[in-house]
Amino acid sequence: MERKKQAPEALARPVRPWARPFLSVRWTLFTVLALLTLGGGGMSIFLGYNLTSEAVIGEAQRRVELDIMSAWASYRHELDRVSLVVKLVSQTQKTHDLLTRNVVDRDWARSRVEDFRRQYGLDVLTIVSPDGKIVLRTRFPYRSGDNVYSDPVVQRALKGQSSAGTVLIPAEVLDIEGQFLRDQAFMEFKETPMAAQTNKTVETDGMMLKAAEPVFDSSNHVIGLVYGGVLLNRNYSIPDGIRETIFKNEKYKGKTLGTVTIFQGDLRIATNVLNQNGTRAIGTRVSKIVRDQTLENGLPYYDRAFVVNDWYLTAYDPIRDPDDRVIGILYVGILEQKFIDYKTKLTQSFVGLMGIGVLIALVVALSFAVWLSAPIKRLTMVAHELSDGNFKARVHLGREMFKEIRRLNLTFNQMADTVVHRGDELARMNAQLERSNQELTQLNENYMDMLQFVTHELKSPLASTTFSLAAIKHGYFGAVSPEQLKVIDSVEKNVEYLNEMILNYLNLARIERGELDFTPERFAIRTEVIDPMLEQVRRQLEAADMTLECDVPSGVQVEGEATLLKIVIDNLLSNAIKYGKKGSKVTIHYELRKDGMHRFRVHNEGRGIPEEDIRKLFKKFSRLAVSELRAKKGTGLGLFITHAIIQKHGGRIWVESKEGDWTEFVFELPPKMPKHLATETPTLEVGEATEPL
Amino acid sequence: MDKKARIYMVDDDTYLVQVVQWVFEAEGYEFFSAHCAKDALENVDKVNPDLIILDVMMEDVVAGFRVLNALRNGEDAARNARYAKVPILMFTSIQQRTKMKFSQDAGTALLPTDAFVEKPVQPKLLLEKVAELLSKR
Repeated sequence: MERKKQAPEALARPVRPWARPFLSVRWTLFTVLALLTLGGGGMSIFLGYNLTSEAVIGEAQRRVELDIMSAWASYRHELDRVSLVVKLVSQTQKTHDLLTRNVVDRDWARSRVEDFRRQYGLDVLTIVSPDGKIVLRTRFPYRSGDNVYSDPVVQRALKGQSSAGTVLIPAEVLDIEGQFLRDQAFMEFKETPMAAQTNKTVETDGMMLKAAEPVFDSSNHVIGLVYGGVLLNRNYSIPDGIRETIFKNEKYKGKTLGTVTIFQGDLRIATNVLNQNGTRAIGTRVSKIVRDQTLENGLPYYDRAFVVNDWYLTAYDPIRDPDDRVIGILYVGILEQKFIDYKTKLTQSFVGLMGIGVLIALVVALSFAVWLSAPIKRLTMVAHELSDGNFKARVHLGREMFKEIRRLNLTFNQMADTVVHRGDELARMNAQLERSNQELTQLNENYMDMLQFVTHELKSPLASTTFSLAAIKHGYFGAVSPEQLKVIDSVEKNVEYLNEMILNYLNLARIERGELDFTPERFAIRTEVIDPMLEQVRRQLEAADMTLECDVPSGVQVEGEATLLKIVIDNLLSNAIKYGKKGSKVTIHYELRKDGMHRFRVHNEGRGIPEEDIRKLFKKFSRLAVSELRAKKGTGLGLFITHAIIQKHGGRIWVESKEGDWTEFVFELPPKMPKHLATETPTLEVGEATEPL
Repeated sequence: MDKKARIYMVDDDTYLVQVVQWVFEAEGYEFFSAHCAKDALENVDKVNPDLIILDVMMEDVVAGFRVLNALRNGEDAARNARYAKVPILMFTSIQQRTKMKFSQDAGTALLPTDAFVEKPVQPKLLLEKVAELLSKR
């Protein structure tokens, strides 16, 4: 019974306080799914962004690398054109005539070749004799007779080989070659950020696409050569042509998308890169990092670079002369902004799409979580309903999606059936118990009524018996012999015991019937209660050869019912005398406690009470178990009644004892009775101690 | 005792009355008795007692009180006056049974009695109490 009572409590107590759940299935499920979705989405966006950037920029860069190849093709095409023109000239009869005979009209011949030069857009076209002497220049002031044998291009042609390439032409040679060429090449350096440091402030030399062809006679002997060239400085037709070929003059946000430049050394000599003021950015120089890579190391530079004003995706290739020396750079670049914008747009749309996807996934996750946890919620609601007293509440079966949930619902319904069934049974049993309890109470009441009647009826004959015995004893009816007296004493004691028992039963009946109610009054306990009782026990004391001392001051006022307190004093004194040592002293000691309680100690010398008996003392039918004392006969009810009365007064009572030495009954009464007590029936259980002792 | 006092005992316990009579006569009192309230009231004037010993519960639970009230708070003023001077001793075990509190003071209107003696009692005590009441008279 005890165990059953505790079991649910033990279950309800949290075993591990930290394990008290604070998560809901729904939100946990949703959170996990959401985290997975967001994580996946985030990763996708990150990867997507990187891949897109890589793809767009990488693709653009690759395009530039292709573009520079196209640029080279155009550049070489130009060189080939120069070679072709030179070759054509070298094979004309006039050139032959000029180199073999001097009879040719030189001026006429020169004007014809000069026309040819102009027609094909060459800056120089010169005929040279096999010893390196200039036979004819086609550009004003038409200088001739000087020797150009030291020129490697000339030397190769004189050996019978065609020769073409980009070469540097010193300023003084430009002077000799013809009018304006030096001016065209002359260039002042412009301040350029990120360019390499230099002491030079001007460039006077020029860079030229140059080709030379030997001229053979009929027997295949070299009889001279023709060389021609195009000066690259400020010659915009070449870069513009390349750009036209590659980029079709495409524009982006008002800026030219592609740019092409030819560098002489690190100096821009022909370009369509524009300055901020819209002029071509000649005279500016390439950045140091590109210069080092191309000019110093002779390697191409393919990467993004800051060109004059903007970032470009670029390709720089070194330009070499026929002796394989790096003398310049060919550059192609595409405005990076276009690709960055493209990349941004792409990324934005990707992120947008991804975001929508993630959002949809979240909604799906939430619905999924709700859907999955719904059966649990339904079950909880039914359980609530059940616990609120709707015993018909059951989970609807048949809608479950999962085996586990179905099993759970089934089990729950079975459990509910069992619980409700048990509850009904319990209620029925309870009602039954109540009925039998009522019957028992009725029975008890009847019994008490009868007890009261019987005991009262017993009292009257006992009263006359007592009186008669005493009368005989005192010789009212003739002399009494000592033997007769002994018998009378014995009968008297038995009658006394009977009387006491009846008294106790009467009091017990009153207590059991709840008839202890009274209106508390204030009175002096000494004069109203103790003294009359002392009077009453005087004879008993004398018979036991005992004396009594009482130090209760007559001024002590208590609140309560004197008649009841008389029963208390009577019981305690009777006890003290009954169990006291013959010839000893009984004392009633008074003490006012600090808390205002009146304490009374009824002390007697005697055998004392064993520890284990003290607990039983105030029970209904307890009697001190000492066989010797039993001979003195007590009803066992006296202390139970005493206890009930003291309790009714809001006081308490206990026993102190030293076995074999003394016993002391101590009781305390409050200065003022608690209001509710006087009209309340003390709940006394038959056979139970009501106060811890 | 200079003069033989007349004791009138009203009690339904005939055995008790008998023994008390023996004791009181042995002590030199004149002793008369009645066994119910009705008898008592009919005969009390004829007996003309010096002291009345009165039980409470007789033919009914308050028979003694009825007698008491009839003698001291009755309709006959002369009679009331006469019995005001005759000590009445209530001899009863009623206190154990009822919740009523009896005044020990003589002359109270509610219970105009002179003394209470609780049953059972030692003959000696009863004699003492009677002597005391008579001497106060």
